[in-house]
Amino acid sequence: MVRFIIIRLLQTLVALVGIAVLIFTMVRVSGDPALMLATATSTAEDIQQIRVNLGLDKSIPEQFWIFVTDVIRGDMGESLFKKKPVTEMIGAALPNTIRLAIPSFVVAMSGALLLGVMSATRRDSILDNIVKFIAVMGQALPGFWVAIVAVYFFSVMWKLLPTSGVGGIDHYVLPVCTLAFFLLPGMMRLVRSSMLDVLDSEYIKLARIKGLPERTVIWKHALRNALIGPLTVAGVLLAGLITGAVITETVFSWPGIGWIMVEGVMARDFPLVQAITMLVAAIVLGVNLLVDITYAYIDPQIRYQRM
Amino acid sequence: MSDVILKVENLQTSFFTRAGEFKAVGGVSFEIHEGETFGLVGESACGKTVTGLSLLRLLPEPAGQIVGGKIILDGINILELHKEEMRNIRGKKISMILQDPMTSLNPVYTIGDQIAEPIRQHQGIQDRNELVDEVISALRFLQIPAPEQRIHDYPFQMSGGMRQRVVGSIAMSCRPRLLIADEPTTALDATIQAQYLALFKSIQEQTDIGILFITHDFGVVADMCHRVAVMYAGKILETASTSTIFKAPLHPYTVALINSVPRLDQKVDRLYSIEGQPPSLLNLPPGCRFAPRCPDVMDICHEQQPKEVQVDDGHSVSCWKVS
Amino acid sequence: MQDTVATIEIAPKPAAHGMTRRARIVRSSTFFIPVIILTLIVLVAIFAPLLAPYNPVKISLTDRLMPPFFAEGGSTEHFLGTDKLGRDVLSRLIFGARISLSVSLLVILITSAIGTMLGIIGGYLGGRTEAFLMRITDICLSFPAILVAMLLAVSMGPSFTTVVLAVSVLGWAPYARLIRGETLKLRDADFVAQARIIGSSPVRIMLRHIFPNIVNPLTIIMTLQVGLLIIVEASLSFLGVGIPPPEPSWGNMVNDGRNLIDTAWWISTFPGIAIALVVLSGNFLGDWLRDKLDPKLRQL
Repeated sequence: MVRFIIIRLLQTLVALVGIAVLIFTMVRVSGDPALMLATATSTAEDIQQIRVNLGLDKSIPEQFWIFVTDVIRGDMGESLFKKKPVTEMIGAALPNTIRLAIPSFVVAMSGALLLGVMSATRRDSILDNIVKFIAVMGQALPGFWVAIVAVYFFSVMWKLLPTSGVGGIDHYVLPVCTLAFFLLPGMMRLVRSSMLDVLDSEYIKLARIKGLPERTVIWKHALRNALIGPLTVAGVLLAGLITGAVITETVFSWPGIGWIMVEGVMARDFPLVQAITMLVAAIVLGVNLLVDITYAYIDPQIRYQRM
Repeated sequence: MSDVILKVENLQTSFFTRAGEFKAVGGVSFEIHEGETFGLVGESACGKTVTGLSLLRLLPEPAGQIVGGKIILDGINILELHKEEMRNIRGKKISMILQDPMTSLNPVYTIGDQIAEPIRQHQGIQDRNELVDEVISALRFLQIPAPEQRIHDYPFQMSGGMRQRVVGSIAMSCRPRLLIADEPTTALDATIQAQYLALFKSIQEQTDIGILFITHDFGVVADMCHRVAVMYAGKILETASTSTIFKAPLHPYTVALINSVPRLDQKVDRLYSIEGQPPSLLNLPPGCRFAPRCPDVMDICHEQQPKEVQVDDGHSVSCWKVS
Repeated sequence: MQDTVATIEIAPKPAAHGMTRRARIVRSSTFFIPVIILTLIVLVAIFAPLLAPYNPVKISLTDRLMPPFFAEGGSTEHFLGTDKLGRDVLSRLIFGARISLSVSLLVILITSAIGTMLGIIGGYLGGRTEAFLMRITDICLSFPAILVAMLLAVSMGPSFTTVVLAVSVLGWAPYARLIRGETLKLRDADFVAQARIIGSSPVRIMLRHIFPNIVNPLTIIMTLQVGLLIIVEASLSFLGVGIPPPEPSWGNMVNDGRNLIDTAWWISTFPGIAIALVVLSGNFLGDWLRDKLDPKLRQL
């Protein structure tokens, strides 16, 4: 198991470096970023000055080296438009995103587990059909649209909840529900189909033959095996969470890293965008590593084999 | 004659699907005594496994339903019990061994955990040490070596034969009255198979347990079973002691089945097989179900179902030729 | 069918002649309705210039914020109303179809080609190659396309090309993973062993034996991706990193109407409905295809 962790850790680090290279390349893919920042009235000297400020006058490998060492030191440069250190901006925004993401994830996960298991165990019942309907609608309706419609009904028409910004519990309700909406239908579908597969297996039949209560059969025997499937796509779910967070923060003007990133794109603030991308890449890789370890823990076959 | 543990009277089980009603078991009756191994033989899809599942009331719902008959276990008709009461019977009074040891055990729990479950459930033992003792003794009962270490193993760490013994341990852990063995040795090697069957014979001697042995293998029948019932398309065609079935079978189907088993001491040019296919369980013929394939068929066979006739002590047949 | 009595499914899907008329109608409608809808939308996209009553980017400040014809204050001149710059919503919807579908189709072509190729190569060759490719695939799968799109938008500026590129960079991963799975199943098949015995090269085996057998699951994935990509593009355009205004995309149309949702609900609503319709049709069609071609592929 330890060997497994170490190998995975090394792979993660390699991937991180690879992504750094990619990010670095992508930002410079169109040629000269300095030209984008130039205005119509900039002279050639102005443009050259911008280049120097951004360190673009140095050779590419040199630039990359500076980039890497900066990242390690924690210096991601300065935002071009807010004139503040990028790390400071991220530091302020990240907690907001976490405050949004965690409750949403918990809501979505518990809802998905509950509904997925119940619908799998009561096939073709009314509940099952409702769950199937939610799954279909959840995939078809774009999240941003649902968010806007929700804002219309709950904030504008019925004036129950605020339209945007951070604040007390009432400010949390719509954004959390919106972000949960991004996640819940997909998760629920996974849990349900995984449960259906597991419930058909021989060892479940044996569990019933033993005379165990149905409750134990479902929640102890079936669920633990059923969770292995969805866990393998946890990475994809995380991507969905991030995407959903960006959109949710934008709709509700929630000052998290999604929102400042979108604003950064609008303003062509590439140090900021670059930095956030690196951060998210690190988070994604980190979470994937954790998931791999958890998966190894749950499924004893992986734990005992040399991987 | 020892006591009757199980008496099945005219059991009928059907599967209701969009295509119609599959009459999987169309009226089956038999008895199993203490210390007796009763074999249920037949081709695939003759209804023998469904019979076994019906005894535990574990048919896949909502399609599978027991539509008639009685199942009397130690004097009580278990078809009249509530779900909760039935659950107490499962694992405690009746238990079952499934065919495939590879998929019968839950891969994410240790075998110790899985054996402990029915013990905890039915005998109410909560204390961990006591449970471990019981599990170890259950493993010993099935002659699994080094049980103290084994309880921490996962199923994938064991061979097929060993796993099947674990399944046996689970089944025997609460000392049931009746064991249903559904083709337990089909997935095992021939040598392991022999060991396993010998093991069960000795268990039966120790505990006086009744065994319903479901199989399609006459060799195993000859080895294990005291009495046998031959099943076809959901009905029992002939019931007799094992020696009678082999030496003096009466029903044409039984005769054909026994002839189908290749023999070492006879040289044959062609292997004997029965022509035709079993009937569809959706559209059953009005008469005897074997009539379309029977070499001794008469007119009445197509029209009416034959009644069960007692030929001798313990030997009964359902065939127009006999009655 | 011999030994299925004891393992009969709860409600197996029998051949058509065993079903009730009602069930048959429902089942075939899950094919016909989506196909009709999708065909219509494709036709609309192709013939957009002929069908749209107005120029989608033409501004007309006198006709601003007109409601659809069925609401008060609306007229049949602007069937679905106009937006805040007086542009006809119906025309924008029609041209938006064109743009959204173009992005999706282009991305599907690019990603399916790359993904299938890598999936077959990885699945067939196995070993380190496979392990390496699968790691990359896993990373791409868990990386949100939105980030890549934003990164590219910052450097290249939002445009049609940027969107296609951004989504394609990661979008090949689902194909790679699933096709690799299918290839693994085929790798051990007898006809592949046969081909190896007679000395066929790996490339030949992959092209001639493996590829034709994965066409079915590939088609299913591609159909299911249509809906997904429409939403991805719409989301990107909604945020402003997709198709830039004034070009209409269903996504940026929803964004246009965002702050006017209480006074001019039609600007955001109609594009949302359009998106949902296409996605639903694509998904139903994909499910139908999967049931027809191979119900065992449920995890798709």
